[in-house]
Amino acid sequence: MIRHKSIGVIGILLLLIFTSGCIISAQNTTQLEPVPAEQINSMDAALYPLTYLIAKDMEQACCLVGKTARELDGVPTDDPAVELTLLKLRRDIPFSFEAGLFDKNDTLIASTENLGKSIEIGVGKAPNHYTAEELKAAEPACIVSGYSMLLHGDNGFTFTTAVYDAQGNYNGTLRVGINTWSLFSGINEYLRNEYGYTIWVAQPDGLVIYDKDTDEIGRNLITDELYVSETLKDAVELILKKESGNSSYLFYDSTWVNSTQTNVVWDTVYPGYGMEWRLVLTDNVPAKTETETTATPTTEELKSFVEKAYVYAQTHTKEEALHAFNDQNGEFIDGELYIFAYDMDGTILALPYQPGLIGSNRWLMEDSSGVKILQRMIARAQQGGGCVNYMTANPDHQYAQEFKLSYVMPVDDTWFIGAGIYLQENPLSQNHYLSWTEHEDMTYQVRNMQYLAKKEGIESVIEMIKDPDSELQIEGLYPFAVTENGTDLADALKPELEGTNQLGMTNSLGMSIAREVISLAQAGGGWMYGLWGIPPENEEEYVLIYVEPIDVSVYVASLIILG
Amino acid sequence: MVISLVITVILILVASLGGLLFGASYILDQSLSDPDVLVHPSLSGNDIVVTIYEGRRLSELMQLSLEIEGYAPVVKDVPSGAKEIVYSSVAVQITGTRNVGVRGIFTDGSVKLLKVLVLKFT
Repeated sequence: MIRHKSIGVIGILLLLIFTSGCIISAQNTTQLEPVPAEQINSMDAALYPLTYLIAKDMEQACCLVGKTARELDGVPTDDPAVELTLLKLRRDIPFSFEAGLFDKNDTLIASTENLGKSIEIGVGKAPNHYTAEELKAAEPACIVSGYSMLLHGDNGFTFTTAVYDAQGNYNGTLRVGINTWSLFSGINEYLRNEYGYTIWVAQPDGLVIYDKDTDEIGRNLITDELYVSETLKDAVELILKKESGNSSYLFYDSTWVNSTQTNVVWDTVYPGYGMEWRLVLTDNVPAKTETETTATPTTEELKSFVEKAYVYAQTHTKEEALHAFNDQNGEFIDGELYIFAYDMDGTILALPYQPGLIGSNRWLMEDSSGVKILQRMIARAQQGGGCVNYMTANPDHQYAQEFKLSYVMPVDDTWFIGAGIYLQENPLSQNHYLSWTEHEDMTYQVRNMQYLAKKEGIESVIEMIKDPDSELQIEGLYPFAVTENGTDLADALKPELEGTNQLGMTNSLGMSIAREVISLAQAGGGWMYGLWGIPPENEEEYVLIYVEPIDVSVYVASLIILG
Repeated sequence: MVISLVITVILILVASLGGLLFGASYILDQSLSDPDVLVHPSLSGNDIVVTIYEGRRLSELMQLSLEIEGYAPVVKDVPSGAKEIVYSSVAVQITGTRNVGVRGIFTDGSVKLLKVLVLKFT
């Protein structure tokens, strides 16, 4: 909820700036052209409110972490107040992963990750060590770590602050993992859709911590071979050296084939003690085209195409099959359809149009709504196969983000294949996008249910879901709760489902939303799309769902209709 | 003494059957270039749909037996030319991860394990 107050102001500011109309598109070129001052001014004017917004977000999040640390001072670890306090903190920072309390030896002693799949209390170790003196020097700010893999397996950074015992002696640390994708992708979508700009973010050591293209995140601008062009090296040097400025460089456009002039302006955000980020705004954005009435394969044709590849994979060696799937002139390319293949850990095995990516891992790849694309595909493949939805760049529409339906099948228990089609009739493909405030509202609502379930009991939360006037409700969102066995405990959108078992309920794509929700909750929670009958006519519409477990047997979620 | 012997024998039998069922998947992998019948099970709500693709003994296939770990096998007739067999409501209340096997029963009375897959029901 941190950002809501600032959004209106920034929206109006950006609107005023852009109604003056001075955006000049990047030219396809092999030499750098001078950039008109008006364009630089226009880009600067778009960047500075965002720099302010991110800085404010970080400051407020850091304040919350500090305030929470003071609430935890002198509280014994086994006091139920510890878990409640951590859950409240996680709820109030919607772009956080998990919050945890560590002892003086950096061992985890309390955490919001309650299914314990990846973090073990008493065993898990914090990746960064800070001395009591370092933590004291940072106060009242938090120490902000560099971008790296966090304890629970995702990539991001952490806020760390000291916690003291009842006598005021240093007793350990409070740490909150921050999801950089969640922090920046909503802003990026807003910028891209409304103004035709996009952002990338880097640390001063050159590490890219956010880019619209997830394959670029985690690369180093100074050392990675992707960034070897002379103009780019010069620009990167300048960006990393100076706190703000403007520059231009030649870089691939979204096709990753042609080179184009990209103009950038940048500013610096200080997210907390010990870290700074370069926030770089670029004009290298593909235009989002209007819907065309081109013939798209049907879902049945898509399924048949994948089944043909499945038969091939079952009747040939894995090596032969992957060779055939990776052949750009082979039988597994048909118009917009092509076969992709992945290991069950997300490693790319076949991707005919991006052969350079084979062998890299996409387990953590998210779309702009936070849906972990490969994890959803793998979950579906492990059900024997079926349909999966996500947002991704459409090469036929200048790589604009569009809604995609893929059909996946497991070849065996170790790898799967699939293919996809773009759904142009979907609301997310019609120049609409989910605003980050709606996204944060959903996160808040679900995490609030987690918090309230611990504070007041699950029954209390169930009653609040049923009550349209309860404090839990947020306009346009529909909370629900389900058990590990698929029993609907409460459903704000369809109250009549209460008490029924939903495992067998499928949509027109053969997907059981309940089984998907349970699977996602048992994996620790997250985001998914589904096609769901909406009252009163029960007509199917696409929905976005955010799920979290309350404990091992009850899961809560919030749903928004994408329309 | 006798009881413990009987229990031991039963345990050995169960273990052998389990090993036979899931060890056979390896043998299947080795002979897939010329499969008896290529089938694939997938979960849809509470149903399991077994899709029938191709195979040298397709015309001899009479029945398919679906075996979900921990549950009794369910046998269904395969009509001539059938592309899929739907096992309605076999997954009611099933959650978690289980081994699923599909056996083919042929006109000469032979029974062949056609597919073994680990399915995640939730």
